[in-house]
Amino acid sequence: MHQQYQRVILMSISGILVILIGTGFFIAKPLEIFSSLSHIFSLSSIVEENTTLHQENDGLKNELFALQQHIAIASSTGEISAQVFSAYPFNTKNRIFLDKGSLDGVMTGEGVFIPSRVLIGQVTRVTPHESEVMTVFDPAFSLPVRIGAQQVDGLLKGGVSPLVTLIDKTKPIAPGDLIVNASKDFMYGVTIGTVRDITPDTLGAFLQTSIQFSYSMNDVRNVEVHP
Amino acid sequence: MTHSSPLRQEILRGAWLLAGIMALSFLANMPLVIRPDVLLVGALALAFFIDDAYVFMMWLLAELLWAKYAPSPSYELLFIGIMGVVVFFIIRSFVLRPAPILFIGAILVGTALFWLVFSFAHTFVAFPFLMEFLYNTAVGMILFAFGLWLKKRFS
Repeated sequence: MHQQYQRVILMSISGILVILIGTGFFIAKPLEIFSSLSHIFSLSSIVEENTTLHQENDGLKNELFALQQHIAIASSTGEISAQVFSAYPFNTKNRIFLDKGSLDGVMTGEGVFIPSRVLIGQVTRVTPHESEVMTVFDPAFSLPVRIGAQQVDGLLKGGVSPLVTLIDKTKPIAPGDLIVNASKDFMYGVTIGTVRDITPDTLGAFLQTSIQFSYSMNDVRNVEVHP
Repeated sequence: MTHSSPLRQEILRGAWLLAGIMALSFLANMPLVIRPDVLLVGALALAFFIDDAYVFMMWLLAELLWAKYAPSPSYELLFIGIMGVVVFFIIRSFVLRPAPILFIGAILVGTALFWLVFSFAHTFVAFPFLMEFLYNTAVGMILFAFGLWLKKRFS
C-alpha cells in the first residue's frame, strides 16, 4: 500500500511537471507561471498598472484610427457600467457574468467593452439582475473585422487563441496593425486588438493572423455595455 | 476505547476529500490557456472513495453548491452531478476495488462526454480537449492518492 501511494504520487508530480513544461512548446501563449507567482507576491500592482496602460493605449489607437478614417466617435451616453462577478469555469466556452441585467437596461446582443473602448464580447443572455457575455475567446464567437489603415477585410473566429481568417493574400497587412470591428451589431471601428503573427491558412488560399490583446480576460473586472 | 462509527468515518473521509478538491480548485484560477476540470474530477473521486450512498450524495451536492458560478442553475453542474452518481453506482455494482486505471478511464469518459455535450460544434477532436484530459488526469492522480490515504486513515 505504501509503495502504491509512492507510485501514484510520483506519477502525478511527474505528470504535472511534464504538462507544465511541455505545454510551453505546443501552445502559443506560455503558461505564465512566473507571472502568476508575481501576482501572488508583490508585483500585482505593477502588472495591473501595465494592463491599464495597454488598455489606454488601445483606446488612443482607436481614436486615432477613427480620426484617420473620418469616423465619428460614438458618444459616451447610454453605456451601462457593470462589474464581472463570475466566469465560466470550464474550457468548452469562454463566458463572463455581469452584475447588471434587464432591470438595468442591458439587452441581448449588446456589445461589452473594457473602459478603453476595446470590444471583449457580446451579451448572450439576460436575467433581471445579471447578464451572460460571450467573449472573443469563446469558440462560438465570430465577427467581421477590418485590419490596418487599408481596412482589409477579415473574419475573427473566437477560441483559445482567436484568429482573423479569410484575409486576402494580395492586401497589405503587417504586425501591429489595428484590428477593428466591421459588424453592424456594434459601433464601427472599435478596437479588438492588433495583428501579431501572419501566416497562410490551412488551404493556403487566404492569410490568417493571431491577435495581440491589450488585456487578460482573467484581469477584467469593470466593463461597459453599449447599446 | 470506543471506535468511531462507520458512518462517521465516511462523513469525515468525504469532508477531507471535499477540502482537497477545494484546495486543488486554485489550479482552475491560474492564468492558464487550458485549465483542469477540478469539479468533474472531484465528483469522480467522491464516487470512488465514499461507500455510503447518502454520504456520497450529501458531499456531491455540497461540491456542486460550492461550485455554483452563475445565478441560475447550470446544465454543466447538473451533468457533473449525474456523472458522479452514475460512476458511483457502476463502482458499487461491478467493481470490487477502485484502481488508478479505472479512475483514469472514468476521467477520460467524463471529459469526452462533457466536451461532446457542451463544446461548440459538439466535438472533442481538438487540442484543448487533449490538454484538459491530461490536466484532469494529473489532478485525478493527486486526488486518488489522497483518497487512498483517507480510506486507510478513516476506515
